[in-house]
Amino acid sequence: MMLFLCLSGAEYAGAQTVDSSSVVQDVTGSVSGGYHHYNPKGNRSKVGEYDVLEPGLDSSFDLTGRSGGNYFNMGGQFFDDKDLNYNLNMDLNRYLRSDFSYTRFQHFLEHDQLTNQDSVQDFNKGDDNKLLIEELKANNTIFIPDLPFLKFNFDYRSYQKRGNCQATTVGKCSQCHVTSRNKRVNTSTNDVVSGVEANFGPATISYSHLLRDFTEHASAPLANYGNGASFFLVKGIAPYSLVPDSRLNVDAVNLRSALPLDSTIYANVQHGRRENRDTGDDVTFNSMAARLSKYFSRFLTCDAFYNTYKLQNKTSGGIDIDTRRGGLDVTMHPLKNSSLTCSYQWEDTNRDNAAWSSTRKNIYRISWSQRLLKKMRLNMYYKKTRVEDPFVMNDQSFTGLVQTSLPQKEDEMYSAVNWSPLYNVTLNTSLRYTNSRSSRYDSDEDRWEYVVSIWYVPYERLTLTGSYTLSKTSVNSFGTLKTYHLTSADSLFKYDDFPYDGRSQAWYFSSTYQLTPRISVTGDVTWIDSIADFDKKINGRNIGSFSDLSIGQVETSLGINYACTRRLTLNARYMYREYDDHETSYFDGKINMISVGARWSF
Amino acid sequence: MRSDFSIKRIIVFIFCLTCAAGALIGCQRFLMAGENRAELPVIEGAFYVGTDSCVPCHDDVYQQFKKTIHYRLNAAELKGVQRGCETCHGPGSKHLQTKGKAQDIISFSKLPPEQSSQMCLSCHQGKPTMDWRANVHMNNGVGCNDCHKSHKITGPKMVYLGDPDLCFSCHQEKKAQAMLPSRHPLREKKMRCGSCHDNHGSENHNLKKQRVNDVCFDCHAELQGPFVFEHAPAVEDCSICHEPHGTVANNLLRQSEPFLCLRCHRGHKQNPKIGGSNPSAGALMTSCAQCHSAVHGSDLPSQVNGGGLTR
Repeated sequence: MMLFLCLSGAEYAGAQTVDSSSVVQDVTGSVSGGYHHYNPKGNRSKVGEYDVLEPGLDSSFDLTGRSGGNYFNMGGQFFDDKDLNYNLNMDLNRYLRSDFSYTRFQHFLEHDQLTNQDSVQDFNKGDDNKLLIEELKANNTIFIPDLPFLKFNFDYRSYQKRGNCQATTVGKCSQCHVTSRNKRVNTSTNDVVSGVEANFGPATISYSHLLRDFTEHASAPLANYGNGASFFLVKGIAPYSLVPDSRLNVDAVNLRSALPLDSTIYANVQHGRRENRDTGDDVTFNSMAARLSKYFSRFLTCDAFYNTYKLQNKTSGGIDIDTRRGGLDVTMHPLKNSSLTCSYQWEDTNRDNAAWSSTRKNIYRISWSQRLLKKMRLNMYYKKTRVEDPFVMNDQSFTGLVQTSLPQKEDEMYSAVNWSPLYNVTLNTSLRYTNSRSSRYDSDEDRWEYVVSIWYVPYERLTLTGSYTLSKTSVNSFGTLKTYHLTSADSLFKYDDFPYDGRSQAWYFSSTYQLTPRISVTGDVTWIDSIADFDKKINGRNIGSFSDLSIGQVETSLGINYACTRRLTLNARYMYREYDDHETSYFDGKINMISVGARWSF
Repeated sequence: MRSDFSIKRIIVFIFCLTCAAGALIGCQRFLMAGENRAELPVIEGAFYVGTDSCVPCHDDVYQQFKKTIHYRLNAAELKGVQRGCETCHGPGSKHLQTKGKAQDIISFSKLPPEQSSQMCLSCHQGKPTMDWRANVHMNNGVGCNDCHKSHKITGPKMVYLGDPDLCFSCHQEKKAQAMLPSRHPLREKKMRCGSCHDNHGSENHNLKKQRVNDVCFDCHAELQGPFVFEHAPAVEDCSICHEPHGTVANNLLRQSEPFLCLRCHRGHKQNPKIGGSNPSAGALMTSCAQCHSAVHGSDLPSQVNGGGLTR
C-alpha cells in the first residue's frame, strides 16, 4: 500500500497549476414571478394527483457564479407552500463539492368508496387522502490536494411522508365487515452515507457505508374485531396496518482496474443487514459481483461476469434467497457504423421456505445497431428467456396446488428506426413485442408497444412535433376459485381461461410558432385512452365486471411569450386537463388553470 | 561454516532484491497500464501545441468551454496532464499543420461510441462509471457523448436535455407510460429516471441496486420489513406484481385486481349454502386488498390462520 502511495504521489508532483491569466469571473441569473389560478371540478385525486390545485403566487430564481476554480449554482421554484424545490450546487476550487436539494410536493391518494362491499364501516367516507412528501439531499465530496488520489464522500438524505391514507381491514370476520379509517402517516427515512474513493494509477477502489433509519411516528389505527369464533387469533379492539420501524446497514466495496493485455476488471462486494426494530427480526444479505472485460481489437470486445446474492432471513418461516448469475457479452463491429452484441446469461436461484426451491433461468440476447444511412439509425434486438421452475405461490390449504403469473418461456423482439430524411424532418418509430407463456401453469401473455413520432419544421418560425403510442396487453391465464367457507377439495373450481385485455393509446401534438421576433406562441394537446378489461362468467355472472377500467385523459395548453426587452419576458398560459372514468365516474375531474408571469434575466 | 553462511545470506539477499525489483517493475507497469490502452485513439507523429493554438479557429467553442466543469478541473485531479483542449482531443500539431483536417485530431463525433467513451473513462474511473462495461446503453451503441455535451453549458452533469426529457427522447414508450392513469411523478419532475436507474451501468440491468426491491425501498421504506408474516412475491421481486413505469390498473399493478391475484392465488367464490349476497361476488371479486390490506407483509396476525395479511 505504501509503495502505491509513493508512486502515485510522485506522479502528481509535476501537476501544473491553473493559468491565472485566464480566470473566468461572471454571475448570471434570472428571477421570475407570477400568479396562477386553478378551477378544479369533480374529484381531484386523479386529475391532479401530484399537484396542489390552489390559486396563488408563484416564483422562481436561478443564479450561477464563477470565479476561477470556484463555482456555484442555486435555484428554486416556489409554486405553493406544499409544492416547491430548491437546489444549490457548489464547487470550491474542486476541494469541496456540494450538491444540495430540497423538494416538497403533495400526493393526492384515492379514497376507495368500498361500494362493492355489502357490510362496510367507512369512518372517513368522502375525506381527502393526501401525503406531503419532503426530500432533502446533501451530497458532499472532499478532495485534499496533498492526497490527490483520495476523495471523501459524505451524503445525507432525509425523506419524509406526512398526511393520511386509507387503511382497511376485515373488522368483524364473522360478519364480513370491512372497516376503513384514515390512517395517520408520519414516516421519516434518514440515510447517511460515508465513503472514500482512492485512485492508484489505473486502479480505483471505493468503500461506502450506508446507515438508514426508518421510523413511523404515527400510531396504527384501531378496529373492532368482535368476539368471533374461539379459534380466532384476534378479538376485541386491536391495531391494524402497523408499520414497523426498521434500520438498514450496508457496507460496499467497489474495485475497478485496468489490467495488462487490454483488460479491465470490476468487482463489487456488499454486506448488509436490515432489521425490524419492532420485532427484532433481521435479514442479512451478502453480494459479490465481478466483471472482466477484454478488448481484443477495435472490432471485438468480450465481457464475462459473475454475481452472487445471498439473502438470509432470520424471521421464522421467512424466505431465504441465494442467487448466482453469470454470463458472457460479446460486442463486434462487423460493418462500418454497426454494432453487434451477443449475450448469454444464466441465473440460478435457490430458496428456503418457498414452494419451489430452485429456479434456473437462461437468457440469450442478440442486438444489432446500424447507421443505415447518414441520417438513419436502426436498433433491434431479440431476447429469449427460458425458465425452469419459476417462482410460484403454494396454497397452504390445498397441498400440491401451486400457481404463478411468471412465465416459463419469454420471447422479446424490439426494433427502432430514427431517420432524418430532410434537414427539417425527423421520424422515430419503434415496436416491441413480448410473448410470455407457461404450459405448466396455463398462461399466455402478449404485449405490444408501438411508438411513432415526428419532428417537423416547415419553415423557420414554426416547429411541430407529434407522436402516437399504443400499448396493448392480452393475457389468458389459469385461475382457481374456492367456495367461500369451504376448504375441501370439492369446493375448488379450476378455470384455465381467464382472459384479460389492457390497452392504452396516447396521441400527443405540440407546436411552437414565432409570431414576431418578440412574440412566440406554444400549444400542445395530449389525449390518452386506456382500458383494462377482465371477463369471466362464473355461474352466469361476469366476475370481471366489478373491476373493469376505462379511462380517458385529455390535457391541452396554450401559452404566449412576449420578450419586452432582451432581459424581460412576459408570459401567459392556459391549461385544461380532464380525467374521465367511464366505468364508475367517481374519479371524474376537470381542471382549468390560467397563469401569468414575468421573467427577468441578468 | 562461516563462509557457507555468508553465501546463503548473499543468495537470500539477491533473491529478495530480485523479487523487490520484479515487484517494483510489475507495479510500475501496472500503474502505467491505464495509459497504454489500445482502445484509445492515437494520432501518429503529432505532439502537443497548447490550447492557445486552438483558440483562433475555435474561439466560440473555447468561450463555452471556459464556463464548464472541465475548465475548472484542479491540476491534481488531472494527474499532472493538464493540457487544455488536447487533454481530450489529443496532440494538435498535425491538425494545425494541415489547417484543420478532421482526421488529424481526435474528433468525438467521428469515433465509435466505445472509443469515444473510453476517452472519457480514462479520467472518469471512479463512481458512477466504475462498472461501465455492464452498461446497457454501451451495448446498444450509446456512448457518453450521446447524453453529455462537454462544450456546452447545460444542466447538471452536462446532460443537455435533463432527466427525464433526455431519456424520453429515446425511450418514448416510457414517456407514454409516464402519462398513464397510475404512474410515478416523472411528468411533474418530482422524480427522475435516475432516481431508480444508474445509467452508467450496474450489476442488474442499469438499476441502482442489485435487487429491484432495494431500489423501491429507497422511497417505500415502510415496506422493507422484514415482516413476521411475509407475502412471498413481495420478498422475491416487487416487479412480479408492479410495473413501475406506469399502468392502467391502480397502484402500478401489472393487471387489475382481482385478476392479478387470481393468477397465483385461489379466489373466494360465493357459498351456495349461504346464498344471497352475503358475501356477494362484488365483495369477493373486486379488490382483494380491501380485506388483505397488508399485502406487502405484516407483523400482526390475521384472525383465522395468522398469515392472511388482513391487518
